Formats: sequence, C-alpha cells, structure tokens
Amino acid sequence: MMKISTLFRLQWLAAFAVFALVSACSGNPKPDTSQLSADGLRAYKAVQVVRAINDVTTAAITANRAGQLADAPTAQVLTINKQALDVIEANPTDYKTKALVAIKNARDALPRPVDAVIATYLQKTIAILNEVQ
Amino acid sequence: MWNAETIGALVEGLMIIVRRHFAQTGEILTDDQAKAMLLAELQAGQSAIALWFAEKGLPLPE
Repeated sequence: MMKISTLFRLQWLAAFAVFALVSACSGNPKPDTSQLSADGLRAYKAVQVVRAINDVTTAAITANRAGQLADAPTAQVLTINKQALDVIEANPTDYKTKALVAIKNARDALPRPVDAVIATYLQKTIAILNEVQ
Repeated sequence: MWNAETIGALVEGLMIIVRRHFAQTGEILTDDQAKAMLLAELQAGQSAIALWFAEKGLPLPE
C-alpha cells in the first residue's frame, strides 16, 4: 500500500508530465527574430508563405493518391504552386504582388467552370499571400 | 518501484524535455539561417512537385 505522500508525489508528477508533453508537442517552436535585418525578416516571412504553399501541394498530392482528386486538376494546382514558388525564388524579398498576379492569371486561364476543389486550393494560396505584410 | 530515486530520475527526464523545448523556442535566428530556411523550403516544395510530375510521366511545367 502506497503512502499518501507517495500518491501526492505521483499526482504532481503526472501533472508535470502532461505539462511537459503538451509543451514539447505544441506546434513548431517560434525562434527569436529580433536580431534579423529587414531582408532577413522578409526571408523568414517568406518561409511561412512557402510552408503554407507546400501544405497545399501536399494536400493536393495526398488527395490525388487517395483517388479523391483526378490527375488533371492535381496537375493544375501543382503547376500554379510551382509558378508561385518560382516567383518567390526569383524575388525572395519582393514577391507578393508578382506571385498573386501569376496565380490569378493561372486561375483565369483554367477551363470553365473551375473545379471546386481547385478553386478552394487556389483560394487558400491567395489568402496566404494576401496575409503577407 | 516508486521510490525517491525513480521519481527523481523521471523528474530529471521531464526537465530535459522542458528545457529542450524552451531552448528551441528561444533560439535566436540570424539572417543566414532565415535565408537557408527559405532555400530549404523552396527546394522541398519544388522537389515534391517535380516528383509528382515524374511519377505521372508528365513534363514538369515551365
């Protein structure tokens, strides 16, 4: 039979374990950006944008592999995302307007009516770019 | 089983996890690191797209 004091310690230990695990698993750690120059900060913001675009790419590929998105619309989404990445690669500190124009032009060039899934993916990408300061 | 040594070892392990987490959170980013992160993310995205087109036997769009 455990003593009361041991039970109290175990309870405290369990609470501490939960706190530690939640802290360790709660999303990506955010580094301190206070030492970055203006260019460095723009590059760091571009990292967030590229990650979000890559998430859209991953979602489209996953949906395609699961048979939920056909090859043609998947290719369209990936082509547009590639254009966005190309623009960011060429203009890492001044890409917002150019990337938005490239994506909107590509969207306008899609056969009508635009597939609902593609429209959703593109809207996500446009929203991500619009959030950039 | 739940003697002072065991509990002490567990607490020490948990402290390591917590310290590691807060050390990562407080990491000071330099310009070079931010630019390297951007390059890595761009390459990851471009690679995923290129791989999918290659798997489908389709040409990579310009």
